[in-house]
Amino acid sequence: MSEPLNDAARWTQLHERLAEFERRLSEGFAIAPDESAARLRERTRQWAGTPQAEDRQGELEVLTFSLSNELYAIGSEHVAQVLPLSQYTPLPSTPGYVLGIVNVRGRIVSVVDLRVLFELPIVGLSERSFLLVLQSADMEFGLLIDRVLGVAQIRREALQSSLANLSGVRAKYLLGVTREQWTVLDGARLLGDSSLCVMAED
Amino acid sequence: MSLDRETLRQHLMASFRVEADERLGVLADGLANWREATASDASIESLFREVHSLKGAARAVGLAQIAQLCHAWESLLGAVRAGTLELTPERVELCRYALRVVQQLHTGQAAEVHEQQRLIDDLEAAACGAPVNLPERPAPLPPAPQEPGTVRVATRRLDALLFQSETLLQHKLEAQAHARRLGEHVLTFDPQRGRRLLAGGSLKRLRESVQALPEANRDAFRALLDYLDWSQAQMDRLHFAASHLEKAGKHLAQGLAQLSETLAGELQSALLLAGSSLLEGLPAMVQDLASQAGKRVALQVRGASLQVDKRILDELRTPLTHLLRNAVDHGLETSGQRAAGGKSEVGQLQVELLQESADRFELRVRDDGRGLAIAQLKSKAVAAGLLTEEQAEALADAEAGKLIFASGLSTSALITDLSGRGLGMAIVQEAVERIGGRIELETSPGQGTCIHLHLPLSLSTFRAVIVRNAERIFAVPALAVERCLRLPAGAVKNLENRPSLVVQEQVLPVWSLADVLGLGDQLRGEGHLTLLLLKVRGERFVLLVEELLGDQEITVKSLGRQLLRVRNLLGATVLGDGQLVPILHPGDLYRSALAATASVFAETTQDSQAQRAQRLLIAEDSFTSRGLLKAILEGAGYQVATANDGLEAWNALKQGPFDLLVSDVEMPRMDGFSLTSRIRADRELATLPVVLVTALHSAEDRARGLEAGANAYLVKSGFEQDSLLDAIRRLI
Repeated sequence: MSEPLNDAARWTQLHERLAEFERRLSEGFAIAPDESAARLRERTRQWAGTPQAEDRQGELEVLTFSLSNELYAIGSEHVAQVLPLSQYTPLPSTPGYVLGIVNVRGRIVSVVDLRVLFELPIVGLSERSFLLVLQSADMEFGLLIDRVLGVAQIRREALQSSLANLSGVRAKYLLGVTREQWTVLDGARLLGDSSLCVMAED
Repeated sequence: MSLDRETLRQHLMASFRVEADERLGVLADGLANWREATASDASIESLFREVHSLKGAARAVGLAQIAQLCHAWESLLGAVRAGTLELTPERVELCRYALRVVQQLHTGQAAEVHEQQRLIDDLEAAACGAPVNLPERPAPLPPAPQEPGTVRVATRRLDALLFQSETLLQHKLEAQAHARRLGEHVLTFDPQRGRRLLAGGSLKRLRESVQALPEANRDAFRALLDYLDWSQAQMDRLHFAASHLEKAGKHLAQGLAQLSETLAGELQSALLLAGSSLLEGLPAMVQDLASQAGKRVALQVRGASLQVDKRILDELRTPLTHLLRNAVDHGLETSGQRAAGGKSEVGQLQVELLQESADRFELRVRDDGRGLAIAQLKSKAVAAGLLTEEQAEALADAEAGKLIFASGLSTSALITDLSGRGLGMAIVQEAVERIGGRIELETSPGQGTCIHLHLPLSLSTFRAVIVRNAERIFAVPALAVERCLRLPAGAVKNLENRPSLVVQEQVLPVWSLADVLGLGDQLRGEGHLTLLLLKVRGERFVLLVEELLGDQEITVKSLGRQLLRVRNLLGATVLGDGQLVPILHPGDLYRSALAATASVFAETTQDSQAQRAQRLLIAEDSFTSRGLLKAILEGAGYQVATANDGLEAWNALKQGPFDLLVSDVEMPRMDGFSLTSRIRADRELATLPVVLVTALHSAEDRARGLEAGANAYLVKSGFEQDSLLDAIRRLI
């Protein structure tokens, strides 16, 4: 609440407002020419400039990790957490790329084995494997990885998206390959692909 | 309709009371704001709606006084809303007066009739713009609202609480497992004490003879005796500490158990609802359906006061709707048909809730209609390729009735048109089994059909039998397990080349769990077989497992968001030791087993063409190491069978072809060296590659292993999977 005004002050305020209304009415609600020009200039400037936000979109923050002696990266916004994978429970009747399930603080999370999905050589679990939990609004699963290497910024345009030896399933989930030869996974595609879900028919 | 009208009215009244309390609360708050500040359009709109809804609700339960008052009040607010009237303080005051009278009526205080009438007139007059005469004496204020006995809680919050209580249950189970292990730990001190007592005499004699020893040895001997004394004292201290820890562990486990059980109990009772809430709206639906179908139906409900877990009721809503719809659409005949059949013209439909035991109940849906058309059902099943003509011919009626659960049939529109009941029966079954229930069906032509749903009263009382098979542990819902059997291997006989077993004069098929789940071969022990007799949808069958680990209460968890529905699995649970264990789906197991036997021949022919996965045998007496090895090797794409010791491995090798043996060295009955020697001496097995994996780490042992004829000798302490896999790849 504003301060209570005494009667005299209220009246002055009222008169001022009325005068302002009168002025605007007489001008037919038009804006002063110089003000209008200024507004237009401002708008032009806004539209012409490349927004900074988009600049940041060109950059991609990724988490890099190793798997079967290859280097991978995935957009960090898809990664909910990384945990050491000490043990997992294999499940019968699931496709080969489902390694099993793990208990993550009382919740059950399924583990996807990219080595099967990407047809990489399978050399058994290494001593220290990790679980990279990917999450979106309506999907969650973990990726089996060997080790997390770190977080990096990469430029989208620097990604090479077509590479002769990337085809089929592998190409489907890839954003591209960087100059450092990191394979950048498409997290949104992985999480959004309903063909990765297991829904047995009755 | 024979549903008790009075009960329905009471039920509606209870709902009305809750609703009216809320609406009056909103109105009181809104009006209070109007006195202090000017009313915004939005708040006028909102109050108008509240009054309108209150009027509707009051009318629905037959409270004419409140309805009339609200109607007049609504006219006033409507005029204000439309902008034809200004909201003067007098009019606000009139609204407040109206609110008080409604509150009074609502709390059950009778107001004088003429005063009410005057108020209604005043409100209507005010709505037309007449000046407001405020009543001189304001109606007495209703008593201060009492402490509310009930509150509404969002289901989401309840779910969160449930999740917490499940976590607590988990911790309880873990604490109990730890306490048990501590107990075992304390017991390991006992043999030490026993041996100490036995050795006491000799030690005493040694002490006495110290003086007789030569000088040089005496000190060393004394030092040794001192060390021994110290060690014993230390051992006693450790024993004492262990006993303490055990007590503390037990105490903690008990405390947690009590807390967890009390919380679960409280939560459960908070979640209990009368069965009648399941039936809300269904009588109306039945009558609607009946009139659409031109039939007359009397719905009778019994046992609706039974208290059932809300989560169960939620799950049952859809299945029950399906069942009633089916009964009306297809089960019951038209009045004409009934009269012709000598039945009363009104079809009887009965829904009954019966408590079966402390934790189970039955939901029974019975109609006196025409029953299932068994013959047509059979012919459709034959047409759908589910049965051969001969099988259909031989099928007993009771068995044929179960065909309606076959989803292939139920989804085909034909059967739905034909006899109904196919519609959604698979869905019904699925829903019932998901919450740990089972379904039974009784039908007789012309007499009607009765469907029994046997269900748990609460979701948290889910018990499971824990079994171990092929190094993996599974939980089987106890509800599906009729009996656990331990029989000599000879009890299982082959009938038409299929293993079967006679239980209670009934011949039942036997499948090994490993085969059903496709876990590779299961070695049959020579001694006894552990068998589970399961009953699924009225079908009984026997499942061969390796070992029975016990039965216990479990909490069912889903398999996560990716694994929406996995064949043969119902979910997973966490055991006391933190181990995550899949829960098997009995219904699926039966279907998978049938499918597996059907495809046996197809598979063998395929196998000879396709490249066969290489088969390895693991001989290892430690359960953990065996599981680890198996996981590693299976991960590398081999087909793996296991044996518990050398002798078992030998028998396995003699029975089936293997490409390679991975064996531990130290094993009971026959060790790795003997096993290897024996293999090398055997004419058929002489060339089998053998990898010895061992904790023995000496050049001597290594030499002995190679001498026995092992192809590779890997030491466990430096055990890396890569070296094992390398070795195997080099050998085969």
